Amino acid sequence: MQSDQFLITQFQAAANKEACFTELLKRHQQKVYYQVKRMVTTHADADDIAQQVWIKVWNKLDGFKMESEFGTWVFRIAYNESLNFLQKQKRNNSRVSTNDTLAYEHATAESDLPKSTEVKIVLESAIKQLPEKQRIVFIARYFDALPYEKIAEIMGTTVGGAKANFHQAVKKIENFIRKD
Amino acid sequence: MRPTPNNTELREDSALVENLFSKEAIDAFEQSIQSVPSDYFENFPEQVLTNIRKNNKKAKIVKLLPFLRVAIAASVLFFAATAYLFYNNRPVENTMASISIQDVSNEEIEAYVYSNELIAEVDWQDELNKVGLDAEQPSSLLNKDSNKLNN
Repeated sequence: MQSDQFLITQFQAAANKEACFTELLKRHQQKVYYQVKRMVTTHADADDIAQQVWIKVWNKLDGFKMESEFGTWVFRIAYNESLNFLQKQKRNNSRVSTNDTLAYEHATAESDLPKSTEVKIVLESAIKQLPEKQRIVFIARYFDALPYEKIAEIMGTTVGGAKANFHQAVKKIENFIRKD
Repeated sequence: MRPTPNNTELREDSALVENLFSKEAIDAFEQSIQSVPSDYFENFPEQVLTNIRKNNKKAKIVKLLPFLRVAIAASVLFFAATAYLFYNNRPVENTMASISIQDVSNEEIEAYVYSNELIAEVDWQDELNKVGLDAEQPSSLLNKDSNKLNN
């Protein structure tokens, strides 16, 4: 199997661009999709953002200097696109939408929902109430198990900043749950 | 599936989160994240390529627009310049008008007047004949006219 670097070199030499790009996309599409979906939670939004991410990858791949791994570079684009989406959603006052609030209240009240669904909704709501950057760091650290150095590189921040963001996120989630 | 934490710091951070939520909750959350429509990932690459091709077409049209404007402006200037040159360089049809009267000799003037006099006389006789009068009898013309006036 050809390496990512080889495929990128072929792409930049304009040899079989679509074939090289498709191969790179197939290797990384699931990871990108799941990372985005953890942040935005709905399939429709995750699909839109994922499409935007890969279109940006196509447009910028000619200028990619391979100073970092291709996967890290794509994740950086994915996180930026997700961040833009969440900030836009916040501006539209729908960060925690009415549906989410109702779902959370239903889950925390006595309900006939399966226990796993209830706790899933609580977890989802807890993550959604986080500020965007803390949400991204929390998901990258806990669900993707990324080292702080990589998180810092993706977010364009320092290792110390990434650590602080993670611990603040955990504290906020704790306070959110304890409110009940 | 969540990757297994492979270092101490990562395990410690994971433990912080797992203190807040049960494994059940986290697994349920991950399961919902992993559920996608069937064939989604099989079709996704082609969807992306279709959008890229569409964007490339739009980009080509947008790139041509400035050149199109320049081309239109250049065409308008060209036609305006051609029309200006065409109308300014047309040959003068009435050469006679540009000739000054001082340049014409007396003999030429007399010849012109004489030739037109003959033509005028013929025309005058034709008009008189039309109304039944004779140019050779001028007095008859006058009497008739004055009688008409008195009456």
